[in-house]
Amino acid sequence: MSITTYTASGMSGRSVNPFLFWLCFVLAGIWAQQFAPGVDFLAPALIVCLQQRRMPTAIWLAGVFIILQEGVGSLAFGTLLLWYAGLLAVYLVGRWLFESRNLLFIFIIGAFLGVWRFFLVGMMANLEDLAPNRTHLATECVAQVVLFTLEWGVLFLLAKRFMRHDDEPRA
Amino acid sequence: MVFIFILAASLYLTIYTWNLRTGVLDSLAANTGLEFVSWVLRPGKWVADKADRLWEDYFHLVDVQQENRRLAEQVDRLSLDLAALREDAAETVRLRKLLHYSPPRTWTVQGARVIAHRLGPAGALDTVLIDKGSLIGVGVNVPVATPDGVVGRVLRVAMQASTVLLVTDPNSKIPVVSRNHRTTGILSGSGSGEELEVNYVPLNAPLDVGEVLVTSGLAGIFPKGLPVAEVSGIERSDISLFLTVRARPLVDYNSLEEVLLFTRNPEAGAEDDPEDQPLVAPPAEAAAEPAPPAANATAPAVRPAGEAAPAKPKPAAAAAPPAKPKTPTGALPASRPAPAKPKPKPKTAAN
Repeated sequence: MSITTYTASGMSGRSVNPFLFWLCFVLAGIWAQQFAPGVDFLAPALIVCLQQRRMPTAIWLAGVFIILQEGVGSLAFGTLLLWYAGLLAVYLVGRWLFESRNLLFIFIIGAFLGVWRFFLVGMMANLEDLAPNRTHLATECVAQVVLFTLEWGVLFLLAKRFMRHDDEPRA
Repeated sequence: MVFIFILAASLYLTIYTWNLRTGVLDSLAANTGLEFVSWVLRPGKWVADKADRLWEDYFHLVDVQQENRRLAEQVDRLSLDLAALREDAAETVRLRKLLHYSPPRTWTVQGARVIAHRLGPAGALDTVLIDKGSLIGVGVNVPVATPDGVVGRVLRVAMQASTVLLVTDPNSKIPVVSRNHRTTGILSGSGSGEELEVNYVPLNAPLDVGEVLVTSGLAGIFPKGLPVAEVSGIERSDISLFLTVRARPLVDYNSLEEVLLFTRNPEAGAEDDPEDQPLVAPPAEAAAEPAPPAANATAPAVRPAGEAAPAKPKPAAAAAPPAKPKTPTGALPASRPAPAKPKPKPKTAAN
């Protein structure tokens, strides 16, 4: 584990090993998901990685998230592939219109995730001849919108504090 | 761009349908993702349990003496019930021997701890996560219950963790029979926090509000006689051939902490296979044989866990008179009356 002191954007802090940072994030995210059923607490990490232009990190994190979320889910494998593909698509499209760190843009991504989950889970459950509880699903989708935006804000600040950006000067 | 999209969609559909047929990726995700998550959640659950126990042991002693007195009275009452049931059980074995009945299949009961409820965006169904998996023989469709009633069945298995589909989920269908009137139906969930529904109950079927519904064992997944729910409402429809029956679950699914897993006893299962084994009744000593420790200690109502012979009754069994209504517990230790000849039931997607 490497910890070095640096100064970035006028804010001093300590840079921690990215692997350790994301491992702690995953552990915290899994615990957080226990208190809000149906909400994806891991997705904001992908947006933060994309905003920081850490594509390799985003790819391996997406792989880990897919395995974890598919494992604890109750639908056949494939739902999370579409879930994160949708997230990536809306980020890439939205970046043409918005500045990627704009809070409104993040809220739009969260809103998209809420709507996307409602249709995606309904569609994938239908493919398996299952019937999800639509009322609970709608409630969780609303929670996803709100919590995604809040969590992105916290994670963005933590990542800025503890991880060095590619576009920021090294110490 | 369009070509890449079509290629990706085709690749996805290929993987998805291949996995639906083989289950390889589901198994991979369960054995990695589910296993990892269970290891992450387990320490926290352990700490929470320890803290709870500390509170219970040292700080929450207000009503202990009253509770002790009440429990002592309950033990006396249960001891009397047990003595009577042992006599009935011994008699059942003797009668079974006379009638050349094959004994019902036996089950092994083991405890498990609930470590989480539904998790993640793909958690579309009402489920809980437990800390036992394939390493101790848990498989898909293994029945899960508590001493109060049925919880559900195992949906997905990892090595040391499993996902359990709760009775309250709309996709859960359990064939049940009412304890007193022996009226059959299919119990299905209506979502977490909602009452259950009993489908396919004929209009003229005898059924009372407050009557307990137990598993009928006809689908071959649940042991016969486990309590599931209590009838809370019966309505007669003008346009349907069936009664509209609602039932209240006997288990509080939001505060589940420990559950019991029912796995088939492999030795007894082989012995009881009607296709391979002759009809030989077990020795009378079997009646006095104690139930498995976990069930014995915690779950008298679900202790025996015998399985109804699912489809093909032997000629001797078929010729036997219909079984009488069971005891109020719906089950007897170590042996149980042979099941009555199954009534014709509507074919459903019962689990």
